[in-house]
Amino acid sequence: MSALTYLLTRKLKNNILSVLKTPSKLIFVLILAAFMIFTALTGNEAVQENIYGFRDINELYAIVMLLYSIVFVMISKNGFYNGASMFSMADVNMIFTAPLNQSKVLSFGLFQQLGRSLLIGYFILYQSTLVRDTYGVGFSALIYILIGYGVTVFLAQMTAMVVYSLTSCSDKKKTALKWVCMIFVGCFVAYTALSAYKDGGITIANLVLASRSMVLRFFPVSGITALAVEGAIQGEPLKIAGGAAYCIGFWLLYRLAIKLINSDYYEDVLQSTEVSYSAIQARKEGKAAENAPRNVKTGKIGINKGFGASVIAEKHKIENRRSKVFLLSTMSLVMIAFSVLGCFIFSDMPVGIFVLNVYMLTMGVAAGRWGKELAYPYIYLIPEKPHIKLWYTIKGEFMPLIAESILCFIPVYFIAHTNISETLGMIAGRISFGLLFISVNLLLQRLFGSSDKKFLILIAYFLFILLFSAPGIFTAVTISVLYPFYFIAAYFIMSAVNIVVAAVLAFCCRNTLSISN
Amino acid sequence: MLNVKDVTKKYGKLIANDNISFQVKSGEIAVLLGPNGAGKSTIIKCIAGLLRFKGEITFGALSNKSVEAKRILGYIPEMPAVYDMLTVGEHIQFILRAYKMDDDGYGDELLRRFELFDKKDKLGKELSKGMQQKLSICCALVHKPEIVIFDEPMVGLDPHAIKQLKEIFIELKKKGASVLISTHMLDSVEDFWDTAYIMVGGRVQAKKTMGENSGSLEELFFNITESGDVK
Repeated sequence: MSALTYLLTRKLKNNILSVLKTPSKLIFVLILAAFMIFTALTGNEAVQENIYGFRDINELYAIVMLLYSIVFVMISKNGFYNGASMFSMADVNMIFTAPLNQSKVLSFGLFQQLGRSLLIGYFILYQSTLVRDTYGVGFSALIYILIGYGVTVFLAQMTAMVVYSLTSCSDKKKTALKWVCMIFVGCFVAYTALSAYKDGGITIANLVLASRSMVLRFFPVSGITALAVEGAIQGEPLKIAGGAAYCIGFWLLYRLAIKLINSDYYEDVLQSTEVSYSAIQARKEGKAAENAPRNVKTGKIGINKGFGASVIAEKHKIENRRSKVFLLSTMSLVMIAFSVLGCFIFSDMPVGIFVLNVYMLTMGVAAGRWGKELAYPYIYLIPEKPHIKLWYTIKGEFMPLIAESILCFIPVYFIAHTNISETLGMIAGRISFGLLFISVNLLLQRLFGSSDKKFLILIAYFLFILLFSAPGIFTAVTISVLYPFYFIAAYFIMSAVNIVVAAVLAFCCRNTLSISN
Repeated sequence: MLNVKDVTKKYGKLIANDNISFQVKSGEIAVLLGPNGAGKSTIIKCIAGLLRFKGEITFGALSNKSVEAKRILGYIPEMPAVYDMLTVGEHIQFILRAYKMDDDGYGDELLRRFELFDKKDKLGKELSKGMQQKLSICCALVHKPEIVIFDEPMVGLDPHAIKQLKEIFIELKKKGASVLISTHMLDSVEDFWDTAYIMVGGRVQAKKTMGENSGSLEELFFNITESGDVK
């Protein structure tokens, strides 16, 4: 057995053993598997058209193409900064310096990457019921979409490597290629928008129609992988074969390009491997990475306000200001993007947009600045009462939460045409859920502290969210069922219930800092 | 013999290594000294074949990037990264396979010397940072390299491991290996170095050989790094 095969098989075997030996991981995997079996079974149930009929299947193909294109662009652009990150730091230290053929090492890295991207894209499979009910396709469609996703990530990593090889030694080349790429992507976006506009305005239907154009198939990788997935869903072997041939051709072309530009690609992956290694180490130590732009604008220097515990809130203000992109944090931009996406997915069902926003918030709140603060020692050392320090740690979250909630639902008002009272209700609801999730995080900190049982904490987080959201959701559903005419009021009453639950939870956890370990 | 000739490494506009040349003969221990940001780790990575550069690095007659050169190189990185999901013993097996070597028991001997033998079945992720560093050293030495480069090897090691490592430096020297140690802990190498290269601002600013009457290594280091007229 070759060294690389030995490494892969041993890692796989030990991973499986580790899951079996660790109860929290085992529970997590079993829950994931149970969900998967459930979604696979329900997703494969006989497809029955609902009363509104299925939505245009081309919409699904357009979403797939958009997803692949975003993934491709986001990964490929790393080539302008760090190169590709398909290796671990241990690979760099032990494999790169070993007498192994570089091509074999590259294949090993890409194989690992393909495995990882399929694992990350796993969430796609959970959409099976939604996709079945909306577009009338079964679980197999999700499998095809997942495979296409994996292939897109795989080729995007290679693109990043080629871009890095081409530009790493020259800033001029880097800037020139960056502009070429931006103009190239801009042309496709403009073409899509113009096509839709010419067909009668930028509406979902026209955008979907525009996405069918052959021109968009020329977008690197995602254009054709999306076509191959479409072929697989429709059962058209010609499209599948064409897509597969294109991907293999692309891969061979990249291998050749890497060989011609510079066969020594180790440097192209080293920097990004070091960056991701540092991030992993920081995560292991409980320090979440800062979601800051690459070039931070320092702006006004100095903490001129705050005395005692209140300085924590002032520090957060400065950190928030410096980590913003286009006046908003990266996380807020992601939230708004998902909200806009929700408008297209749930155009006939505004409550769906609200649910999507709240779902996204479960991840956004955990990544908040106050959560990061708890990983540093300073908050525990400041000589103030624990609940006062806690208050100032959380205080900085309120304004961003309110601002983000407003910004998330402004597009909803315009795109999904919700009325003002419903929009306000959704904003209030999102804010209340945000507060509730902050309190749930406090509870987790109170119960688990800095335990390294991440899987267990994750499970507990979602269970607590379900548990403590239940009163508000139950109230809202009851009002909507009993008094359908007042369903908008349900948003506000649910918000009030959520805020009460959040306040009670926060009060119970007020001394978290004094007992944290 | 390790030969570094006219090596320049740039990251965009930043010149990390500027026309560096030095040699480490067989049976010699050379130390690379310098403040943070002097370019020590960059030249070490260039030697290890991890970075592209202008110039020439050879191990005897072999280019450092050739497979044959890698076979005789041992590299102990600054960041001891080990595989989370491989046991200590499996790390050694993996390296032996990668270098196409039979297990002659030297791996176990190294693990014993660094007090890791009883942890042979522990996973990489279960090791402390210091233990990971020890394992990283064992992995770099198990294939009996002729050129050995250490990047800050003492960081995180306990006194016993430091003692073992110092003994290994001497043993490698006796066996005729070329040993290059990058560090800024002057006292850690005081007893056994043969040649010292002091780097500042990406350049080798001074070379001192053992026995030269130009003051202690520490004095020379501070004279150069604090003089302010470094180009």
